[in-house]
Amino acid sequence: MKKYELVVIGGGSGGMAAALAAREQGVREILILEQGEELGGILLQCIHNGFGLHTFGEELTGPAYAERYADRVAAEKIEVKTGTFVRKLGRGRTVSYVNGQEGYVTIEAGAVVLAMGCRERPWGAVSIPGSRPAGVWTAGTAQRYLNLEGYMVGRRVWILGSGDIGMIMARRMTLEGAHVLGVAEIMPHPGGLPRNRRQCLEDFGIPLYLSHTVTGIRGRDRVEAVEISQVDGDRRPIAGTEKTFEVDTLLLSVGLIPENHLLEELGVSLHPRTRGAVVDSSYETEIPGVFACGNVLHVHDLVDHVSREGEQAGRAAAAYLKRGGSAPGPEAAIEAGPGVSYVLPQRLLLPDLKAGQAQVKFRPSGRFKRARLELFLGGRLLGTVRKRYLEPAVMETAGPELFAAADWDTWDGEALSLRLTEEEEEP
Amino acid sequence: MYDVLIIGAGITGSFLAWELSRYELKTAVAERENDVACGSTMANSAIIHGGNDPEDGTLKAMLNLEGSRRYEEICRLLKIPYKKTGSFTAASGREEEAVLEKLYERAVERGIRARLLDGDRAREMEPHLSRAVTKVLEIPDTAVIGPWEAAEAAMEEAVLNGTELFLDCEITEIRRTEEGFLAVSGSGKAFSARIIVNAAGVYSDRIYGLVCPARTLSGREEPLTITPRRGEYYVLDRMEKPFVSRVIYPVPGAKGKGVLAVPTVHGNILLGPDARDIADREGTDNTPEGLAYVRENLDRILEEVPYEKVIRSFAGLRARGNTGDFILEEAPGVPGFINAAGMESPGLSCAPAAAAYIRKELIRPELLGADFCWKEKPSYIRRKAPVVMAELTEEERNRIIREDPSYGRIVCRCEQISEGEIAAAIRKPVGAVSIKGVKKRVRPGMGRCQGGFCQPEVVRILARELGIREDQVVYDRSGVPFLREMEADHEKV
Repeated sequence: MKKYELVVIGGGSGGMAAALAAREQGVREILILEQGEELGGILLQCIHNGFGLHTFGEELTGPAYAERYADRVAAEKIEVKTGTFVRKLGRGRTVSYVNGQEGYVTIEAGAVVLAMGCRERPWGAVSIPGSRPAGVWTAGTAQRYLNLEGYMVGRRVWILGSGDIGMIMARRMTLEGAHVLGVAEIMPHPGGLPRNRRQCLEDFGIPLYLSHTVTGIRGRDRVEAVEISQVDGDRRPIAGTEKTFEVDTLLLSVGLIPENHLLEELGVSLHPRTRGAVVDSSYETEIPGVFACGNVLHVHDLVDHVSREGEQAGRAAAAYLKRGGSAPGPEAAIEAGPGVSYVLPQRLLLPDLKAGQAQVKFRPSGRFKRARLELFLGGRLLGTVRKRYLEPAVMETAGPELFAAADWDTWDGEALSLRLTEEEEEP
Repeated sequence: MYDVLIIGAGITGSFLAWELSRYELKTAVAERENDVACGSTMANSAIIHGGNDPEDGTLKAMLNLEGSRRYEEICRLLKIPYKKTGSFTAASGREEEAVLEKLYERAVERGIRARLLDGDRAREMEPHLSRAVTKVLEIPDTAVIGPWEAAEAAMEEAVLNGTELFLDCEITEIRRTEEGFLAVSGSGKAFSARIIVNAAGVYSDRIYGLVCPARTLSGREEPLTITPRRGEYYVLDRMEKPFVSRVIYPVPGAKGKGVLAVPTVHGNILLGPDARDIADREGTDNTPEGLAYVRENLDRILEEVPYEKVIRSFAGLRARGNTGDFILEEAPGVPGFINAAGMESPGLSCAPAAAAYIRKELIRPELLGADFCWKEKPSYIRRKAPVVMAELTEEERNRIIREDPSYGRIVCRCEQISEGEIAAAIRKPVGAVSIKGVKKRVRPGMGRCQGGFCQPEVVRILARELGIREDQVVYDRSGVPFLREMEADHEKV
């Protein structure tokens, strides 16, 4: 069985960043396994700009952003197998893959970084009443047809879900001559980033129907119309609010799900909220030597953050290889409390906390204008940070400022929790 | 001149074509869709029932028993999946237990293996069975198959042995002639045939109406009518520990077998169906009421149903006739016109037996010529089993990939299907011509992403194999627009 020091599964933004960071740390035998025909992952079909503001200080398209990393991977002579599908991960870090050149192969890895990205929640999972004709796609599939294959999926379009891809496709279809009649969002607030709302919907006069959903699809063979209804506080359609729009296409942007079949098959339990692995502050999963980063760990809203996370996971994997084992030291579990939808990592290494190096990512569960982010140990408040203008669509971070005030030498193993509360308006 | 023209390539028409293809006979099949198995065959519970449910003295009872006995061997011959899962019929309380005991007695009378279990014993075997369940009838020979795979394989073998299959060929006119019939399709294709078998599913009363406006049934004044009875279903994703390992039935009621949980041959779980009579013969809509009915009824026999694993909902139409039984007969006053109508549940379980019945009991040899007798063909060609990479050993897979690297290129991540398998499903006899046709045969799009990743790849492979442009590829029915070239969408200035 062939052996590599590090095998990175997935050659998108997270995987490439992880491989490059590990190389910087001196890891020599690195292999990237990529399902697509080239490196880049989903970025390759994201031909709009706005990528790389944080990483490169300029606005790049998705393919341009990917190319910068792919060029570095090539310059570093990191081995890449494209057109390669990973079938199985073993607890002892065996990786089984298949491609047309080698067939079915199993290799061994000193460490593994999972960077398989995510998939779109499909039509079937949302159970929309009505027929099941041609003309319904997830927004990402329509994006691939348009941007990579060169085909339009329709002329008159409705979009369900105001996730970022949905809004970006509303603009993209409009630019290509389609008429996007509207976007329905079941929640009372938009799903995607504020900048996408402005640049993709408002700038093009595309109406956003908040607290609305699609309650009917008409057309036996091809979509002919969709029925939209308002929903109540429990997201149930309100009778009598139905409106019908004649369209030939319905695009769905109803959520992204980390692509974790490799872990599921191993029986690794996923975090119920993120639907990714549970990791410690070195991005190590419960399987020693297996790290996770990017959208396979939790769905990100900015690729720059994916690249950062990839770098952290890559460095951690390199440290694991050097050390010959996982990072030592007790770990403090941290949970999402009221106002917080999830916190990541879910386990903080005590040495990091003591050294003032702990950092967490979190998403608010609702919208906050001026919020107090509080760290609790049992009923005891350990630290507070003030945050402004939070919303579920935007991932937030908190670092040493949240953890610095606590006395970690007396920590007794109890779980930490993170809470968000709206501050009273100042008089 | 054909000896037999079969109208409809669902499970009934396909198994009939297969049955007839063994004999020296010239057979044609006219199907209005671009593929076999597009109607009820595509959307049903996929079960080969034990045969204790239909009432005594019915064709349903007789053919179900025979079908149930023959299916395992037929699936082996056709090289299609068959899984004997067994079944539980779950009763709660005295009243239902009484019905269950009758079903048990009937099973014993009919020679069907059966036993009664108490609720606790049954829950040990099926942990998700509701605590309310007090008694269970176990039928160990209940099985599941792939219904459309069965129709396709049967038709493929029929075609390999001389049956002519005409797709996109809707019969719109039938005239009686001296020798039999002249049937004409909407596009003008004409078939002269001595015998016509009407296996047109929910449209079989209309087809009958083309030749006999009064549509009388033998021994009855009333005409044949078909009422589409819609059934809605959920499909659950594959799980490491399947939710149920047997077919779970409730105690049957007035509207059929009720809402079931079915482990499919491919490892998914089907939940459904409800039963609602509708007017629209194309009305395969899902409705909030229908799906709510499925959930409510399922919750009576099962617990912790993992609805978060739903990857698809769908609806199918059962072709319900007006006699309560299958309508398998030569039409009164129309010699040589045979109805195979009203093939509602257990139509799938009965299909091969119904085909044999039609051949032996309904196709009168004298109509096929003075000296006709049923003579088997000297040699019969068996269909080749498709390569299913998932079922092979690693060595076998690697041997195939060395010969054709496209078998190492995984297109469908969820079901792990290679480009080679998809191309083969298009190239083969009775091959796929649509995205749905590929999905039916080799399953890309059946998994948890529902084609989100692989559909563009499937379109590319279809276009290449069929020698058409990608924007000519159809999703399902022929002629329905799917993709458009980009330039065409820009307004001309």
